[in-house]
Amino acid sequence: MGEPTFARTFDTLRNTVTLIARAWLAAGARTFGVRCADEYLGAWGAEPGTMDLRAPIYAYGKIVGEVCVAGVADAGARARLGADAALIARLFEIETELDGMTGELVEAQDQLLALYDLDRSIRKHVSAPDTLTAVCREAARLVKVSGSFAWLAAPAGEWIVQAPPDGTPVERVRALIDLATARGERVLENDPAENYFVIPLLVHGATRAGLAWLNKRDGAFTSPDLKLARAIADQAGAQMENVLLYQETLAQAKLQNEMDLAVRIQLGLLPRTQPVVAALDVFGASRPASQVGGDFFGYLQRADQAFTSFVGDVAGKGISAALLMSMSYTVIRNAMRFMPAPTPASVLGRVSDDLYDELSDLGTFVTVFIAQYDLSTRALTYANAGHSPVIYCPAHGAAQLLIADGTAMGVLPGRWWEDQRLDFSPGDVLVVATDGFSEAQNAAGALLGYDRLLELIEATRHLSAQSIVQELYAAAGKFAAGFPQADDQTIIVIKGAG
Amino acid sequence: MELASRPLDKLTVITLGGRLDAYTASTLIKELDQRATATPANVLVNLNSVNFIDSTGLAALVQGMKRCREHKGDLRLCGLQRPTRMIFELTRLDKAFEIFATEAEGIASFNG
Repeated sequence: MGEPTFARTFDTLRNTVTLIARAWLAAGARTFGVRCADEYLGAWGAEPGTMDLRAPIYAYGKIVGEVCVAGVADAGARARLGADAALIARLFEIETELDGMTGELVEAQDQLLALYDLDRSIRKHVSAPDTLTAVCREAARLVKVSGSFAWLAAPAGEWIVQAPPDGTPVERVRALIDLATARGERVLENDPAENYFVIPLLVHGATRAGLAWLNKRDGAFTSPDLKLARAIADQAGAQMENVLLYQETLAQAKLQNEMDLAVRIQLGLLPRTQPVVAALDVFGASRPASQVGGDFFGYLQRADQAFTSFVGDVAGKGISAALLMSMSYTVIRNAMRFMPAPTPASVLGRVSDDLYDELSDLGTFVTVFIAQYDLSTRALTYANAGHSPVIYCPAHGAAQLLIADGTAMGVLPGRWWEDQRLDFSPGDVLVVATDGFSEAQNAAGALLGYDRLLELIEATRHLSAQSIVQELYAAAGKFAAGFPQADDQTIIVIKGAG
Repeated sequence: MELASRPLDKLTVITLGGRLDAYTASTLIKELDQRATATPANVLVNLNSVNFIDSTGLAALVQGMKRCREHKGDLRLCGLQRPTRMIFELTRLDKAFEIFATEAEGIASFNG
């Protein structure tokens, strides 16, 4: 639009000035004219020649032109011409201001449209680099600079994007980022040789992002440029927050998927059918807590061997416990399968040799109980690496807790376990549960505890293995009375059959 | 869980209270990691006011014990209440740790 001048604006004033001119001609003037820089912008009446009176037009503190009249020269006319010059000056000023306001309105409208475009173009992107690139490109275009860059530092990564690439060295970009981040406020340099404007942004309440403009094309950032830049930066900041939020949600969804997968793998490892064993009634089950835990159980029936069952529990919760559970389960099963004459204690020793270092590095341990049933002697041989509760309830006698013969695996290096022998007659019951049972809680914080478990088993020993399992789950559920199950509850009941 | 750490001449006494479980064990692990940097790393953990301890809590104590022994020290326990003592006995963790009835006895074991 350029600088408003009197000559350019005069056309819009011409109608009004014509009225003034006619009044002069009616009052006896021969010619009335308005001049600017020795040229007539308008003349009324006879061709302008020598003028008798002149009056300067003062606007914005300087002479922008003059009015002149020929054919009258008295004092009254002189005063009147002065007044008309002042009137035209005032008209010129009003017109100029109106022009300016219109210009600002048009510019505001342009900026709104530009921001709308910006918003639409960056909203399409959900990854951080794509968003930054779109922001930079639009920012450079709208503010008319040769280059722009944006940065974003988040837990998921750090990005610095230059668009369009204007050859600014990476070190220079990094220095400007550091400068703005350190100051925590906008940095403007308007030196014609090198100008830039850098805006650090608060994303999620911390200064971790920003936007910068380099090398304004016509030499300097004007006040409207800076206003527009700030508006773009606000918009960009909001979009960056969205992107981060989206990525966090995505990461959470991914983690949840992995958790679900871990649970499925875990459940897939556990036996889906109950074993059929001569002279035994066996039933096992596992009820996972809401969070993935580390419980496991299994059976092994090898033609040449006694029936073997095992129950284990990895200390801890979550993915790490689930992974260790899978690993322990596999190592135990393989040991039982491939050792020439596996006994519970020798299997524990072998498994401990395999797992001790890993468990120790991860700061955790695994409890494992293994039992073998020999039909010819009607005896159970077992070994217990720190597992509890294990409850033995003879057909005619009090239920009792069996103490482990060595600590859990991963606590101490070496082989600490010995085979224990338990005569197992019809009606005798062995319950191998995990601490999810003994530590089942109610809202008051009370634990189900060992004593209640012993009573429950004595009261249900006449039932089938499956019914005992069901009764124990029911009792744990009734005790918790809706209080969430904090840990996996796994149980195997082995009962001597007739 | 409450945790109070009291440095003495030859050891640090850590007094725990409340629940030592999957949700609070990390606090103890952090504390033990700090204590285990000294050599010898001697720590006595007083469990007198602990009313619940689960396998994650036990794992934290085991981890601390190993860490202390790597640094030529030990992590010993005292003041176990009946339910806690029972867990230690049933799982044979009483064979892995040196356990004392009172704090005074525990402190004396390091000074002896």
